[in-house]
Amino acid sequence: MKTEHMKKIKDTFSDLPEHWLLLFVINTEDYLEKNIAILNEVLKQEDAIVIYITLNRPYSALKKILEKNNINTDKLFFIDCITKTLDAEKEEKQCLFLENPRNLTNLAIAIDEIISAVPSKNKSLFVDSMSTLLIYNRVEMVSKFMHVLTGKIRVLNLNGVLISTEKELDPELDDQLNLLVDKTVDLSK
Amino acid sequence: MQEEIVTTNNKMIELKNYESVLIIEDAKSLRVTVNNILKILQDKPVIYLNLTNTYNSLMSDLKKDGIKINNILFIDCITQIVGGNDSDQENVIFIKNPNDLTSIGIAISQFFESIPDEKWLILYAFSILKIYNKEDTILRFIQSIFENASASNAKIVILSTQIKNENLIKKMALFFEKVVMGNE
Repeated sequence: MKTEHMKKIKDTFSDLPEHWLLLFVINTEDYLEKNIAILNEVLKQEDAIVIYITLNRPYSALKKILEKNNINTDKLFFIDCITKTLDAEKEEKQCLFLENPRNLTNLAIAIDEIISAVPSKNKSLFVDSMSTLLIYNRVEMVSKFMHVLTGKIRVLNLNGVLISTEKELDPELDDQLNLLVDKTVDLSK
Repeated sequence: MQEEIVTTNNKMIELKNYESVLIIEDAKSLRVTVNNILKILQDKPVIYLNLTNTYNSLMSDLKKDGIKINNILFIDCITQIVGGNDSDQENVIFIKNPNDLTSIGIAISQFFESIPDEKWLILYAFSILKIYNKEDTILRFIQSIFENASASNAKIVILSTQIKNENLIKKMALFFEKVVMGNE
């Protein structure tokens, strides 16, 4: 990862209001590395607990990668939208497994359940990634889901990180997301 | 009183010279511009429809920016949709859903009618309306706001981002006395 990108990530997290909502645009080349760097910064915040919505990687694989990169996964709860699409029946203490990323209502319910179950005052939602939601859902549905999700983040005084990959978002959704967040951080160039 | 001049990316708009202004720029600039406008108009009655943020979150943002909120009536279209607390709040009208343009329109026209003197409508993040409404419906809604504003001598500022090949903005721009493309 470029030094300037690492600096951009650190600078973003060094100057935040009490509650924040950020959109990171990442290139596919060093996607994972940047994702981990961003997650690491979120977890550095005092009493941070992260609810990680994984739409790309199954929980078991993701957890291994995070641990390999010295991320303390005890401070993470997961919503896995992938494992069950591969027909694997699973039960884990730290993870909710959803049928697939197509059912955005179930995803919203799962987010509500985890948020109310986690006791910390500093809870962050980490959505990895917006672009994948578009593979499974029409752009209109994703727009509505994001409007409601960002509203929920604000009403419940949570923090939020939305990840998207460059050029993969519909221009209209891209515009709406930029309006809904407090700040867009472009790590793609 | 502050001068009614707003700067958007090196372009100055003297608000008092126009009945209606459409400001189009990128999301980052738009966030700054809307607060500049609210600061300029803070001694005047304003109805503020912000489609991206909840009332409580907006209140703390505006207070942090040192903007007086006593003269602002907020329209919040998000809090109820996500099950947030909508009780015991002053200076705010909660709308169940951003697709309820009738209720939004009624709230705006009642505000216009209730104040005989100069008053303003500030509509922020116009493009969010497209998530919930068809283009034709939005255009009719905007047109009806203009009719009400004209009948009550109210002034309108709408802030939007520019989407590539956006027909809705092009059609809506025809209603305005002044259109400012901030990022040209």
